[in-house]
Amino acid sequence: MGLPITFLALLTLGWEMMARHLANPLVPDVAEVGAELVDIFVSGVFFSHMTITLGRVTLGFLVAFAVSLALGIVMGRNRYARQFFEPAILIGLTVPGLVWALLCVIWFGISLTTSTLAVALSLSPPLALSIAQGIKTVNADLQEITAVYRLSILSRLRFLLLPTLTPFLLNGIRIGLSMGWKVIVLVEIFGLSSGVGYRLNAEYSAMNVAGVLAWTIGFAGVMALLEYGVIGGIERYVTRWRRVATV
Amino acid sequence: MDHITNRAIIPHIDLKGGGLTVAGVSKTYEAKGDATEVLRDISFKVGEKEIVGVVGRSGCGKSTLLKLIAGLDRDYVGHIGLDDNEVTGPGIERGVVFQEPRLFPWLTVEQNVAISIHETKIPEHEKRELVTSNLALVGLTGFEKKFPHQISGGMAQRAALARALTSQPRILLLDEPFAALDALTKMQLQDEVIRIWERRRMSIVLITHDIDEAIHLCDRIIVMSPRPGEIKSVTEVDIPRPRPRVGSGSTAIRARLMSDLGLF
Ligand SMILES: Nc1ncnc2c1ncn2[C@@H]1O[C@H](COP(=O)(O)OP(=O)(O)OP(=O)(O)O)[C@@H](O)[C@H]1O
Ligand SMILES: [Mg+2]
Repeated sequence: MGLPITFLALLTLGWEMMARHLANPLVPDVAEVGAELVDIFVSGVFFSHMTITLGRVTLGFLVAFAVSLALGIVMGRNRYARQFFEPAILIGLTVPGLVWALLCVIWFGISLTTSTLAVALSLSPPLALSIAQGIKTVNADLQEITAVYRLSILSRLRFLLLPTLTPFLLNGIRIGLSMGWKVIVLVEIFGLSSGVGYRLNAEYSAMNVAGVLAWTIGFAGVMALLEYGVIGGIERYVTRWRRVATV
Repeated sequence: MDHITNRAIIPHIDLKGGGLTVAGVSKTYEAKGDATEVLRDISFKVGEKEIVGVVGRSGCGKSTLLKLIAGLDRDYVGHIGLDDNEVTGPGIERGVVFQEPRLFPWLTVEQNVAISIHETKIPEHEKRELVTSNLALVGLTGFEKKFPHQISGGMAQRAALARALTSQPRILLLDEPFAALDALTKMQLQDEVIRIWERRRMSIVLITHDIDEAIHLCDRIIVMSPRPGEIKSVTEVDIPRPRPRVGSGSTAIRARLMSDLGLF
């Protein structure tokens, strides 16, 4: 806990020194950014826009999750399905999130479809790939056990597939979320009138650098909380059966 | 081989009557134009409450045979029947214990055991009772909440046995279940299998490498010869139970088994 805080303190100190040295209105000092941060938090603007953005990412993420779970399992199980879908995955991986954001705004305008689709399109390829790889690690011996006791498809998913996929899913979720944020902010900048991206764009147009920084810091804070708090918590819970090496 | 008078390779075995019937079973693995004949014309019966051992050299098809009986592989010639029913797939009336415990590492011991009756349509509390009583039967009371990595290899194999027993099978299929255990644990578990069998009286097919294990546990021992796997001989073990670990009665049987296995 101490070291990350030390890093953040040093970063703040360095910034302050740079701001004083440059004395340029485009590089606001810590006090200015802090005041802006307090302002957006106290007025509640930050939370209302953050909630909207979070909702959009979650929706896109859920769609991506459902699609990639099905796609990943089919690709991991069937050689022909894998060969068929491989190009789609490769294209999906190489197209930048910026392009998805632009295309969705152009085609679907200002709507929930735009944000959901843009996020889902950027998240699905890495997630599906991760799941397809995970499926190949399913233990054949345990699979035989599920056959011996005639477990239903749902029970097989619950007792064998999902636990096997857990590390791959968590990894996919991590990568996916970090990409999802970038895409959603772009969508909000291009075509929406609410959300963190919209606010960032507004502050940018007003040349309010302290505002841009305050929104960025708040945003990063929430992301870190999600990553360490929520996902980390889920990970600790679902992998509690793991043997911990004592050497 | 004429000295073996009790060969029981019956050309035609009818499927009627209790117990397990294996009749004229042959199995060939085919992979890319390359065919390996693993089992040829295997026929035997395991009566109700009988323990039948299968011994043979490594690679002679013992595990393959067990897989067929378990219903895990249906690509074979011949007939396999349990009681009056043709085996067409896996079924919980056949409990299987493999050489490895094959427990789900993310499930606790009791959750692992409950897997075998997960799809059974009986009330939840009855399932719990079955799990508890079978864990007690194999001596795992107190370890219900442990994960597989927290228990020893012997205990894991006991848990696998409890899982097979919990579905109250008519027949237990054991594929070298004690091969990976140390000599003491192995003997302990062998005696426990006998104790459980005396209480439950199900049929057992025991596949093993260990001649002493087969003599100690089985009513009848089938010796298989390799490439392709065929039944070489069938030997009755008529030593009354409880059987002593060291004793005169087994010497002749051991000698015959070893000669059938081509060990001297
Ligand atoms: N899936 C498979 N495809 C092709 N050949 C196989 C397959 N499984 C087993 N075999 C072959 O069938 C033969 C019998 O294998 P099996 O595992 O039944 O032997 P086993 O008697 O159980 O040996 P062990 O005592 O070492 O366990 C072996 O020669 C093996 O190479
Ligand atoms: Mg084997």
